[in-house]
Amino acid sequence: MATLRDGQIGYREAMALLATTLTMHVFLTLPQHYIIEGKTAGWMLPMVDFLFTLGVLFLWLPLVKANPHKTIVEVAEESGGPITGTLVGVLIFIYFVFLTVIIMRQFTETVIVALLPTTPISVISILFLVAMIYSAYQGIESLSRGAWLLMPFIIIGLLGVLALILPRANPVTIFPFWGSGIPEILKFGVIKSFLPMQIILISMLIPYLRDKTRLTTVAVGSLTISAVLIALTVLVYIMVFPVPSSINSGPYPLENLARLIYYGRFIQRVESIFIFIWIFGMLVKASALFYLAAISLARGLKLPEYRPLLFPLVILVYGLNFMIPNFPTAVWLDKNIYRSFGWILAITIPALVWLLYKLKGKGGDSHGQPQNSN
Amino acid sequence: MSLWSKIKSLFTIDDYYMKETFSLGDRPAKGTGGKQDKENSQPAKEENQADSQPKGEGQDNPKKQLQPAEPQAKQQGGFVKPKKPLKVNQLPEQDGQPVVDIHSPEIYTDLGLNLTKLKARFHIPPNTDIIIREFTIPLNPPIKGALVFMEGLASRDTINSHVLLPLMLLTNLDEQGRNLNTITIVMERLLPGNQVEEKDAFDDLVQGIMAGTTMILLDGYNKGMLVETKGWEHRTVGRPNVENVVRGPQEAFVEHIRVNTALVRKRLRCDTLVTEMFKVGRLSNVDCAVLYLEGLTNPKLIEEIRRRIKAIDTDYITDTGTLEQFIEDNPASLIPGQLYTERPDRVAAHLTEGHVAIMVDGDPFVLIVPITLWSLLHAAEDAYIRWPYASLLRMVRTLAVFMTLLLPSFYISIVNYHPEMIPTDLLLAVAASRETIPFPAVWEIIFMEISFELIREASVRIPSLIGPTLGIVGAIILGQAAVQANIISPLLVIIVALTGLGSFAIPNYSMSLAMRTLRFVFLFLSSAFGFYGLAIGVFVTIIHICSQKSFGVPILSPVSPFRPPSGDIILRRPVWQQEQRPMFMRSLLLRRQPKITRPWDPASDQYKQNQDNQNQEPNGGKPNGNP
Repeated sequence: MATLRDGQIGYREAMALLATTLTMHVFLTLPQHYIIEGKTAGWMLPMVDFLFTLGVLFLWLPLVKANPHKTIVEVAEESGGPITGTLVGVLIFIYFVFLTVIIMRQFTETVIVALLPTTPISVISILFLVAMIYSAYQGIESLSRGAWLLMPFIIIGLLGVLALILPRANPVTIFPFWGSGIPEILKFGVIKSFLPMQIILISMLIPYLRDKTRLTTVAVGSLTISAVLIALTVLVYIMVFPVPSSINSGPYPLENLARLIYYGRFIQRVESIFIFIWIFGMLVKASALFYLAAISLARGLKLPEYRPLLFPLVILVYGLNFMIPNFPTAVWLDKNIYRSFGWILAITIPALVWLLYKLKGKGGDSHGQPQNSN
Repeated sequence: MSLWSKIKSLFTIDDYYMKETFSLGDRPAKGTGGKQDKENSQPAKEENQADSQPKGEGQDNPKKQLQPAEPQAKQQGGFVKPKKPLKVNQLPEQDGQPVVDIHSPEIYTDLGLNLTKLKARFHIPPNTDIIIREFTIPLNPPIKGALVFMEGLASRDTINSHVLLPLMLLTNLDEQGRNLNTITIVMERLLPGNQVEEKDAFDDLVQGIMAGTTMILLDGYNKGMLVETKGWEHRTVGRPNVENVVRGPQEAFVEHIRVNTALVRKRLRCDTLVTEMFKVGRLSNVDCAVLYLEGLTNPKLIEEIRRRIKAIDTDYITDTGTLEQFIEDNPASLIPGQLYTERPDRVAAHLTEGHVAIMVDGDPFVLIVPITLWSLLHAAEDAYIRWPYASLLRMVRTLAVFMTLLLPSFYISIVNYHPEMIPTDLLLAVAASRETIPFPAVWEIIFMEISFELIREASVRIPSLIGPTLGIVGAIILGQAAVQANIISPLLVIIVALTGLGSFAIPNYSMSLAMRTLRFVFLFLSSAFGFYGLAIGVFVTIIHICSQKSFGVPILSPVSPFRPPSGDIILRRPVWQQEQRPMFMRSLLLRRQPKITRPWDPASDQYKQNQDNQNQEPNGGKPNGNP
């Protein structure tokens, strides 16, 4: 069930795509949630999350490596029959659509606050969807190349903001060092983890990877880059906005940081420039999630091509986007639904497929013919 | 018609109203006879039919066309036998020959029959370009022959002194070889031309005549000969008009394809340079050359180019600009997928990197495929000046691209949506300059951009005699008057001027046009949505460019997808460090020079390595040889 004309992606491009997809979550309200949960040690939560995800990833990678030409949907189908395959495909599809919708809603609300206060959200969403559907239509090859092209700007931009704000940072404010306490950090690091998304991303993207031997590099590399960037951002945020005030400093932590940059008369109020990086990153993330939603549905339903699904899906995303009544609800969904339960889904689906695979003992990819021979 | 009669005619009804003005009327029915719709002649025939009285019965037309031939045949006296009016497509039975077809490939043994067929084929008499010269070769026995060439395309001097003279006058000098075939005697002993070919097919002869060679037919032989006598007028090799350089070769391609191939071959004196010729266009039927280095260029690429050129099925192509639209990968994209150049040195340099060059006879521009986006920002000069300067120049050009593309939309976004971005003093200055302007900033900028585009377009189209006037008009409108009239702000003049300068600094005209077009898209997006719209537009453009390929090479390689760079993307490495050809070309030979190319240089560690080599083997002081 190879999808047509999708091409293959190099390991650098794959890494860039995954790293951007994971990191861009920090541009939303994520830092604040970390601080609420971990207090002054909020920056440790992504590290705990990272270690937790890394552990799961290493358990999971052997199965992915054993079936390098199949997504998790096909593995599930071969191990557990067609219905299982479709079920897994549809579950992953729901996961990605949910993620796309809450990210898009939070993002468009932020655009209204930061850039276009009088423009209706429907117009902003339509523009966003146009870019998203275009890049999803062009396929994973173009999207990952775009991500690789944009990643230096995103990383330099993020680090640049963090570096330029350092004069206003007060290192003392990271104390007490352990924040809400080690048990709390460990607990929240796991039960509110969001990096396990990487596992599903990897298991959907593996057939497109040109050099399958670099899978571990791609998975671990992108995870490390994202975890470090997120932790650094939260750390600087805590140093600039000391803990009690950082919780209430408005919903867009990074924009608040960028707004404070002041170097004489000419380097100030750079958040508008910063917004470019932010929009690019968010578009890469949303397009990747949208694309993955489309291919997981296409593969789950055994369709040879995902592109005809894009237009119906875009209507679905647009509609769901407005079923969220307001911005706080979107944030609530992100914090209490996605980050509380998303990781369970991201771990249990692969775990169940793993179990099925072992039980049926269809081991090896000996009879799995290459899906993308082009 | 005097003024009075004109006025009078307004009040009278006379035959004037009955007259029909000329019109082409309905499309005449296609000729129904035989194989008339054969590719070569079909469009020309349609035109002929359209000119004649449209009777609706196409069968009559061919007959009519040949009727004027009758008097002329009479004038020629008794030399040529067939004098009866003949149908174009079916010659009547004659001299025991079977019924013949003017499109049949065979050459008859009867000279008269061949000439008649030829005349019918070239529509003689109305057509006057074809010269038919009949003569007798005084062999024993004498043989009648005819020589046919296209006036203006073939060189008269060559024909007179190297074809006609030996055939008519010098034949008696040689009495040997009587037992040979006459054609062989003529080809081997009588025709001193450097390229003489024997042809069996009539169509080959016709093609040859149209390409400027001279055809010779002999009575009693069903073969023809083509003598190379091409000699049409063309420009001499001159200085480049478009791609000027301060340093480097100063010669450019011309409209003659053989001169062009020679200009390239002059620079690549190697036996691996191959020139393949194709014919393109049914009516234009011009030569199209594909140049590559055998054993270096990827054979798959050459095969793909052959496939695409052979697939072209159209009637008229005479330049690479038309050709490229038939063979390019992304016809709908703004970004060009191929590079054109008028510089032989640039073509030669690209060929050594594994690219393929495509020439079309009659066009002084040569296509180079495949290309990357970066090569559209390169100029020939970059290779001839030292690497730091070249890198700087290329950075300037990259900046020019961004300025052309984004400066106006950036200005609009800031002024309309994000005034908080600029420092207060600058903001006040901008506000003060805009205070007296009655229009929104968007209108201002659109007005200025359109006037700028107008001036630019006019300056290209204007006859060069009145060119200088345009500069004055442009300077007054764009610079002085618009500001003084409070229509636009002075700051905007600077923005538009910088944008214009940026677009002039892009070395590739197609790329420059692409940027100019895209600029308006971004302008629209940013005037409607500020930075948000601009960012969305830029993102979609990036994804679009990432999806583009030029003959199988992703257009952003080697940056995205990443390949080990060869040191010639935007920044340029010293030429002695560019040891490998671009990886994305997948050429058969990757390395172009050994690792050590400056073994004499004591400052580099290469020297040390060389010293070590010398110490190890006292005789071999040479660096690593070329692979």
